[in-house]
Amino acid sequence: MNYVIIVLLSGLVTSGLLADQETFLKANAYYKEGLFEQARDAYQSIAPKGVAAWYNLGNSYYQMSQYPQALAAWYQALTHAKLNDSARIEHNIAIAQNKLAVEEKVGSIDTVKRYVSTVSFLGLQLLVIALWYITLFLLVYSKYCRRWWLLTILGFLNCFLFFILLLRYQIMHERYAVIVQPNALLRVGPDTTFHPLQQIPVGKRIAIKEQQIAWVKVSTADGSQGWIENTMLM
Amino acid sequence: MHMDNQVAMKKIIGKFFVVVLFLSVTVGLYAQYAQLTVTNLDGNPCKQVYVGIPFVVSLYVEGGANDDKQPEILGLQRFNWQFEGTSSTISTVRGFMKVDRTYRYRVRIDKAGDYILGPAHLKTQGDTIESNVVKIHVSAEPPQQAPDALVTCSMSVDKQQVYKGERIQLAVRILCPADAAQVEISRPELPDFLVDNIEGPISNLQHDDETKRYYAWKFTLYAKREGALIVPAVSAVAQVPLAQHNDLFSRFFGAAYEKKIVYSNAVEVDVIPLPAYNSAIDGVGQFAKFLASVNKYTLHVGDAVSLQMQVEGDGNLNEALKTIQLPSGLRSYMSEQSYKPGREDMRIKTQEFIIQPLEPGQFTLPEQKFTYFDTKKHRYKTLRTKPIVLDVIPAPLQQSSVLPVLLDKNRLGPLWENGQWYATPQSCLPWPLFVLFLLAPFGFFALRRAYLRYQGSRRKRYALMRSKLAQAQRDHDVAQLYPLFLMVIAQSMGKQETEITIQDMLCTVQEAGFTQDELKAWQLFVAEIMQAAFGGKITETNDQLFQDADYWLQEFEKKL
Repeated sequence: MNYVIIVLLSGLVTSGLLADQETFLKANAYYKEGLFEQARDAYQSIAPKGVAAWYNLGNSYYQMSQYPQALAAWYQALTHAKLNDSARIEHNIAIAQNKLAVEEKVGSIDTVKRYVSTVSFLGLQLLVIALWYITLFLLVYSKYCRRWWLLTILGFLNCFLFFILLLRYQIMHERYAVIVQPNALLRVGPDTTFHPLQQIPVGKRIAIKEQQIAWVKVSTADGSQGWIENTMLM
Repeated sequence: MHMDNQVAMKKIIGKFFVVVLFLSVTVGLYAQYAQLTVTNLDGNPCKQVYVGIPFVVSLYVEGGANDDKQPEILGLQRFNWQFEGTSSTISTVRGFMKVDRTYRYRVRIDKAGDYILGPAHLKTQGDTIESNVVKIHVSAEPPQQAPDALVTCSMSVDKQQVYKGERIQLAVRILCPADAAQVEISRPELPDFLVDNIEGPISNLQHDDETKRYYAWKFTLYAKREGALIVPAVSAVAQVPLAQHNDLFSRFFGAAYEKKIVYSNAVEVDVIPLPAYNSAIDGVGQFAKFLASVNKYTLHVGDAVSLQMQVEGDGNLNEALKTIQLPSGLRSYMSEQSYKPGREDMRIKTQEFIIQPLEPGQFTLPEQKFTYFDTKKHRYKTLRTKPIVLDVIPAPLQQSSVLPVLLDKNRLGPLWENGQWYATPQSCLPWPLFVLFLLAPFGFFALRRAYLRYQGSRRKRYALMRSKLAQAQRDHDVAQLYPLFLMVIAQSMGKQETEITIQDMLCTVQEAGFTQDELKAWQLFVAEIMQAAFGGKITETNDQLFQDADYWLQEFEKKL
């Protein structure tokens, strides 16, 4: 009975993947023929989208001159991309930012995050556990426990890996959106009656902190926090 | 009568003097006069100056107009000169304004000989004022610096005659009191030279008759043109302590220094042209090494390979290794360059080129040539690198399709046709499980510690039993054996000795995994020690009983 259920579930998953692959190939064909709207709809129907689907969706938006939406899709692609895939995505992002006259400052912490995001979370967890066990073993059983420098290095390495693990966890749960509508106002609270703090230009990337039905709490790159209407974002 | 004549004569002479005075003042107000003088930089008049050392030519114009007209000094244009400014004195006598003006020029003559400067002409208010003419003798010998001078400055070159483009080391050296401060030099005027490197100041103490401190600067130069080139004198400034203010009190208030300005000699370098050569050359001087290496020999189309070119020599390396010879199908970009000291007085320049193949195939980087003029052997030489073969294999589909497009910064990247269209969920250990894994060793350590403690107490217990057994054996007291084993069984069962029955003693041993024969032996042993304890029977088999007791104690320690 269990085998039957497993086989059925595997079949469902496989058929879903195959359907998504078919949609992806169809969307590619639309794109090549210049039917960008159909291509966009097809890419959007794939769930959950991988790096190529997000990237091509961004391209479709771009070809339809919907630059903020294209930026949003490419940022999503970037979160799924491996390091050697990111060059093409960053290239497109730069072009769209140029079109929108938006400049995103990439700080050193962003670069670190970019690298850390490519590391497998499970792999990192196992690595932390393994190193922790090695450290404890050396500390308790080995004659090396008398070598303070080795233990110091291992201690620092443990702390560093744990920090990377926490950073990776944070990256996993970070959510970003892009302002796609003009006149997007950042307000003090989740209602139009609240005082506006600043206007955020189209194409600007913001981090989502909290979500309600029609309002989203966001923080901008300069550190300002506030609420913005859901319809302004993608 | 005689007296009257004398009085009349006095009056006539007096009036005559008054008229002369009046006329001289009136004429003086309208008189115009110009004088050309030559002074050294300290302001002292001089008739002899030195090659390459600047001096001052002043034109004093008395009664010149207060306007901005510049005088023309005949012969000045032949020399290296610089207008330094004017100073004016304005005075008013009897309502007339008179302007006296001095024009100052800093002049340098780079060739020895006798020269005539002037006259100077200044046009003012319709008139032309003409000055005198001065004769200047320019000495080729450097000025003698006073032997007792506190600060001296000298300049020298390592070679008096060089080829065009050959390296020249120019050294400027200041010798001053050991406690002099703020020692600096003016930057030498070197329009005919390419200045490559400036080192210094290097400072150290020099112990001769008295301890002095020297400061040295070293300039690496390359002559840009042929001929007798002059490096003019540089000025040096130093704050020298005053002898009379050298006490602690004066030093405390910081008023113990005097500013000294001195000038070095000038140096002349004879630059001779290079012999004719039918193509461009890469350097002049001594060159020892010219190498080329790559970081890999096999690469994909679009990948980059780093070509390191290295040359070692004492010539001008700044202009070396600017280009490389490449076959078609490869393109290159100039990347980083670095310099480091080489053997003897040479430097090593390393220039990196990034080479990118545009198509697959086997490419041979041809030998690179470095042609230079050997200044010691006075002939042209060529250094060559070895050819390098690169195997370029086709790029993976993903990279080759995207790379050419990415090079175009304004074009959107192409469709990603064979990428991952579905998202794979991130697998991870749940946090509680992860934390459990981290804390598991501590649980293990706690259990181990408890076990060791238990083991320790058990060992102690049996050690105590053995000592009691030994004591009983020494006392020949077999009656002690029964309570001893009762205690062993009670402790292994976790009960009090009073709670233990004979049945417990037999069952405990049975459950511990002893064989039937051993059980029978144990029953027999128990019967004997009970009899010994309660029956008071002491037999000759007591030694055997003690041996049995020792055996059972060992067995219980192992199995119970």
